Amino acid sequence: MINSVIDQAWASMLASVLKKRDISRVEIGDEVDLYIPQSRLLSLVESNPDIPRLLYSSAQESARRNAGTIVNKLGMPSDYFWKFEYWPKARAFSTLEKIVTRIFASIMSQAKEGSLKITELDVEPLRINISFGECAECAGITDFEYGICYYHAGTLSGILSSLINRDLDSFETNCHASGGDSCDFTIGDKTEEFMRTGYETYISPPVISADLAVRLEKSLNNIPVRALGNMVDVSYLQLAMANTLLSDTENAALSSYEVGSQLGHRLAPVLAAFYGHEGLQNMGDYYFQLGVFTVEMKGDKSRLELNIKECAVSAGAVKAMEMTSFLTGELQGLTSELTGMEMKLEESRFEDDNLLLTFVPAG
Amino acid sequence: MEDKAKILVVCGASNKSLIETMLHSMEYQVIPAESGDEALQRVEDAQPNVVLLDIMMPGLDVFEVIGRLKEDTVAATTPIVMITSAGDVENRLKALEAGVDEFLTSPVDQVEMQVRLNSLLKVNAYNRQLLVYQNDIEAEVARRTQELTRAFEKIKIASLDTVYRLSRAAEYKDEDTGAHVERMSHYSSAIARAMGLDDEFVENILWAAPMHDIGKIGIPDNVLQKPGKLTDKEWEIMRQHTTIGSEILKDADTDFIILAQDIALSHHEKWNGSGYPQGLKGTDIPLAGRIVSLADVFDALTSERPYKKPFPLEKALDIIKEDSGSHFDPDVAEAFLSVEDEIAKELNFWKFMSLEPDSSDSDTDLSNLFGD
Repeated sequence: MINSVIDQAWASMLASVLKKRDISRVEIGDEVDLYIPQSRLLSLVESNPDIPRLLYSSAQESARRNAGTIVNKLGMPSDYFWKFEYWPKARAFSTLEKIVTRIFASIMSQAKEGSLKITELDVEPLRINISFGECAECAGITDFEYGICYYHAGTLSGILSSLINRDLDSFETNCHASGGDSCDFTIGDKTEEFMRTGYETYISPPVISADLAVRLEKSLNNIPVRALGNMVDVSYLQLAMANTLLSDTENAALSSYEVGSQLGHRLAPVLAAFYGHEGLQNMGDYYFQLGVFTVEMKGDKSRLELNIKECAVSAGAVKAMEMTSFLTGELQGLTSELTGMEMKLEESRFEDDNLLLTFVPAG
Repeated sequence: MEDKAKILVVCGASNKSLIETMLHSMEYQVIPAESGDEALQRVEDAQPNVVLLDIMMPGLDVFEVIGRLKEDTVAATTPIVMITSAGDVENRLKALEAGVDEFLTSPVDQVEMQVRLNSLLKVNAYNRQLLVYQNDIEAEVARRTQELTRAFEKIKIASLDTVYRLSRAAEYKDEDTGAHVERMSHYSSAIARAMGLDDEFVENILWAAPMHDIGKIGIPDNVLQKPGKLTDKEWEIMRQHTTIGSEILKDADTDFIILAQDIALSHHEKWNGSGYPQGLKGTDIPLAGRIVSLADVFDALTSERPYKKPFPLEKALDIIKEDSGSHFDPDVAEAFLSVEDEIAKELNFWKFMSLEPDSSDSDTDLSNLFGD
């Protein structure tokens, strides 16, 4: 199920490049504020030191599969990269750059995910350096001394592994989040000692902790965090979230709910300060402003029914309840704070494209 | 403990404790096994230096155990000692044939056992050294073979790359892009694969096809780049690109350049004999030339030229069908049409690659990309 969500999101991004995609959210558009995927990924990473590795592996596996599907769909000859390992450096660089730029950089640029460029290539040992500017994963975050773009590290190595049919790994050598001008990745053969060491160091960061309230204020106040703007295509949000759920989906969804709930509890005072009033109205305003969804609320704090329309995590996608786990957790935390009593999720279901959630007091 | 020689022992109940006590007193590490089956299981992990088997061992027959030990590459070099009763000549002969190295007579004498084991341990140490040496040699041979293969491939592809760039240079002389050679070489390899030709031929044609028009380097620009119709005299000059190409590529000693020479000379020949430069007919035209001829024409039909729009795929395919048996080898045309879907996808790929990333060129039919 989660694999279907991932494959559909990739197909949707390709369709967008080919001008063959219809908008799925007619009212609020198919973009969501960067803070949404960032807050989710960082909260999950902060909650569990295994998440960087899991996210990387899932992103790598799904990008590899989808890159293969995409070049096949586009009709790239099967022998296009034949015997790539023997190619002269200049030709290897120009050919790989041509494909990566025309296909995958286009996809990422169209989705406003970032600006992908191959900057250097060596064939023996294989070493591909990539510059990823305007990175959706970390733009506007400055709290770190090391790279934090695990989703993109996995995705980029997965794409290149698929193209040249080799098992590659990558690690980040420079990151916006640690003060870099771009996020730079080194990609090479995963069996090579240099790559193994680089990857292991990268994927086991010391402590991940970001001040999400500071980051959120930038988005709420429309302070640009990058030249591409603060919005990103919903497909990117769906891909990032789905990849956190790919391994051990049931447990990952439960953890997502818990982590979302904690974030929701922390979110309430920030929203109250920003919107200047209290109560559930803040919630509707916030999610609408950041392009997450529109909501109709019914009932009161004894039974609160939310009819969520054009939800960013499920719009135009396969309807998988697991995909909504972080959001429902966040809403549980938020409604608890905004109603002044601990709430619990009583029911959640999709009705057509709408997500229907019912919260009742936990007691 | 690790430095002690390891003796795997399987004895009948009558000998077991005595033998094990003796071995302990001789400072060996004893690996006891209760039966022949257990001995076979333990030998891989424990890697004993000597195996000591009692003819009266429980479980599997002792000769079956010996036979299975000798089938294993590592265990086969481990000396085997068998304990038999005095005068059991028949079993000793059978055991020698099976591969036993030494015998001890029951009841076992400790001094005799020590002397025989010491001698066998030296043999075992030597065997192990030989095995390590043999493995090292094999690994080294494999490594050097891989290096040689790699070096050979690199030299081949480096030289190929140079020629490939020259071919593109020739294309640049009469087109605004060198992409034609890239496209038609992949069409050629797709046809060769569809014809069931071997990987080596497919690879060679992929690399050789781009050189088909290399002779255009020798055609004067006023003919090659003439915007209007060529005169008969100019056509005559133009046709010389086949023979010039062949001259450039002749006397090569690598397969793909030899193939490239065939292609350069014959890619304008026609199945019915009406082509040039030699007017060859049917299978007198080299196979690679027949394949490249079709790939070249198909790419010309589906590409934009200063004087024409690209033909739609269906129209180009109809032309190939119509000209099968006259211009094209019917077998080549049939193979090409059998991979029509693959060719259609490749055609889209080249179109996609030639578009600007932000283009939404309505003439480019990319709708079939979501067909499956």
